[in-house]
Amino acid sequence: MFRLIKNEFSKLKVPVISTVVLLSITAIVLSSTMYQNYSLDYDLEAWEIGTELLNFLFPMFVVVPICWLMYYERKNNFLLYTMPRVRKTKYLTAKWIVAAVSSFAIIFVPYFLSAIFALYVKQPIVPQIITNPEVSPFDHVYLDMFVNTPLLYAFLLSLWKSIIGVMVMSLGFMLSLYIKNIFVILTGPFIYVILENFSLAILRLEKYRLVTSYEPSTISSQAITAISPFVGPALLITFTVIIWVIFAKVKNKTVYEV
Amino acid sequence: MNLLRKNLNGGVRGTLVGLFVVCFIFGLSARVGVEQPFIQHCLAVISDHYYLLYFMLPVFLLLCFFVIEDDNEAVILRHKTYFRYFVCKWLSLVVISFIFMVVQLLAIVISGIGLPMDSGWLIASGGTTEELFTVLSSIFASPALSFTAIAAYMFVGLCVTAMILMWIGHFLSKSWAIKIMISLYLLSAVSIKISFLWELPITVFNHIIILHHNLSSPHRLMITVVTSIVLVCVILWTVKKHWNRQLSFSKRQVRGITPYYCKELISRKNVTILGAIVVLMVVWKYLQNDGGINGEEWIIRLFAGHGTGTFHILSFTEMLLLNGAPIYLLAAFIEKVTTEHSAFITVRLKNRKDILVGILISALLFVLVYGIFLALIPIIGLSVIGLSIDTGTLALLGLSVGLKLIDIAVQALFIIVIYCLIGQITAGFIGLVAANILCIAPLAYLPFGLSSLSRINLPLIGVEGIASLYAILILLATSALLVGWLFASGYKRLPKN
Repeated sequence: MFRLIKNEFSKLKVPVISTVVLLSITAIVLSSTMYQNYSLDYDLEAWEIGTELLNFLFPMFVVVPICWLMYYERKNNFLLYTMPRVRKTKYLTAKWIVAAVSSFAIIFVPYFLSAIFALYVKQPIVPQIITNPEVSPFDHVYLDMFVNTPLLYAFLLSLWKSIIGVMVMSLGFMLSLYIKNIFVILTGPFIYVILENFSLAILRLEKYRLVTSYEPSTISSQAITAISPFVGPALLITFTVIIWVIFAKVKNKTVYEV
Repeated sequence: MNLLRKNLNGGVRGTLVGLFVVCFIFGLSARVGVEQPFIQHCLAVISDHYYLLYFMLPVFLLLCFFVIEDDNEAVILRHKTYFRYFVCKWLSLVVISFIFMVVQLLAIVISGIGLPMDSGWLIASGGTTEELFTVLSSIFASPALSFTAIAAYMFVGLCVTAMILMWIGHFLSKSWAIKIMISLYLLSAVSIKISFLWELPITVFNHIIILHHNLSSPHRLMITVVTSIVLVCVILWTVKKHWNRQLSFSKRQVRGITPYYCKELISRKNVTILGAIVVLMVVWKYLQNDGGINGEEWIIRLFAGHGTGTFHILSFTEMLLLNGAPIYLLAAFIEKVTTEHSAFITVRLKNRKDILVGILISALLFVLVYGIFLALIPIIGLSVIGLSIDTGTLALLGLSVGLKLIDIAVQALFIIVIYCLIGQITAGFIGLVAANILCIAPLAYLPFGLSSLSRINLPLIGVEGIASLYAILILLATSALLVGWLFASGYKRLPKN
């Protein structure tokens, strides 16, 4: 299994590592520059502003560098050659583990690095409360942790974002097992997130969106309840399972197509 | 008689039961919160705008649709001439229309049981029926007379409608008959909301069936009667003399790869998705609507899109969905056809440009289909909300849809260009999303998403932005540039696989 994982990683390392590096640089630069046009109170807010774009595009970044591999292995029949050598489930599991670790890294490293830069490297923010005492009191979700232990907040949030990233990647991975159109595979999760975001916003269920779970500061902190961060991921997992049931059980498609 | 028995088949009977139930519900809802005598209640139900236009008329069309197709030749032969067959069949439809009317009247009468039996006009001020009753009371002496007149008119109208539908069903193929029936219905449902259509002297189903739609202007009833009589004469004449001809729209045999691409791209599934996206947008704007706006403002909200120099996720998503829906389907289509493209196709094509031309033409048609949805569904939305549709609104809608179409064309060309350059349609899509995200920067002349009305200078709302003429010029120039490159050197890179 270990050798399989190593083998799989060697196939993916170039796109994954380059994505991690590029995203980290972008996130760091944005987090340490974009905040200057805003009036803020805390250093971590600069991080939230700087990573706003990343929050929007993350389904692309976790899927595109990873999920192309399975498509091409199916397309050029490489998958069939692995059959005599390794069990199907073992091979696919190894592949998923590598993909999961990769997508975890793609999300975690840029976010956490840019948080460190926002907290310790860039110029400290002069709180707006001091310069302009008439503003309304600062409000934020998980306020205590956000204000007192920002590094822990950033670490935990990056961790949670990475977990969601792995889930989104799993949807792309599931698509890449069954669909023959690489464009749909690579953009499907992004479209899912956009449509889910939009339709839940229409239904006034903003607190249950995946995006809210991913970045809790997108809606007012009072609207967030104990279960609301878990609804979006649960919907995503349900959707993935439904896709799997449709392809594997209803349409009777197999991954290893001869 | 046999024809009648045959035509009263299961579908028709089921429809009649459904008609009774819904008509009864409408009748009960008309009683809620209103104090009026029995006859006036019946009058209110039978002239209820929503009931007539959005339920009764479609149900009647459906009912006719079950039976309009010609019977097989043996049945027609027994009537000796086609004309006699046509008349017999029409008579059976007259009986069905009669049953239809009886079912309605029964439901209305039952729904009104227990109301006081006054016979004079008693017009409550402020009610929804006030305006209509005022008009009716100026013409008819009593509500009972008015009710009888409306019901009789409706019965005659239904008979005429049935004849028109039979005529359409005989001279056109089934698929064309459905299309024409649906478009005639839409015209009758929409025309009442659009003032200039309403003023035109055209007669649609609602004029033929609904009496009070003819009372809006002095000549209206005359126009309806004359058109109907002329139409009936034409129908009888064509059925008598030219019954053996069929209007058929034979398709010209088209050669080359373009029709295959068109069939693949403009498939029923893709078109449904496009329609669903527009409906989703319209429903969203409908839910957002908090009242107090007119049609033009509503159109602006619908096509607002995203401005430049800011970033607001929800409106950006909205813009991406509205602009990107056809692009996404187009991209999936390009990926599919180029993956399946085999060397044999290349061999049979005379010119490499044919692939590019095929893709571009099918994409153009696809975008035009989207344009039809973008133009029609908001009009329906406006009429459902109850906003007036005047010329200003229509002009604005035309401008927005036109801009949107050129914008989408530019984005589609952009994605094709990137595909030619890099060879991955996904790269094209990512590039397109990135190009749209450039709106974070204050680039007023950014061609991607320029159809957003929040970037266009509209004197009506006072939005700052560039003039619509400049926007159109920018978009056209960009698309000319992209098309020029594609035909100059881009086509050599197709297909990639």
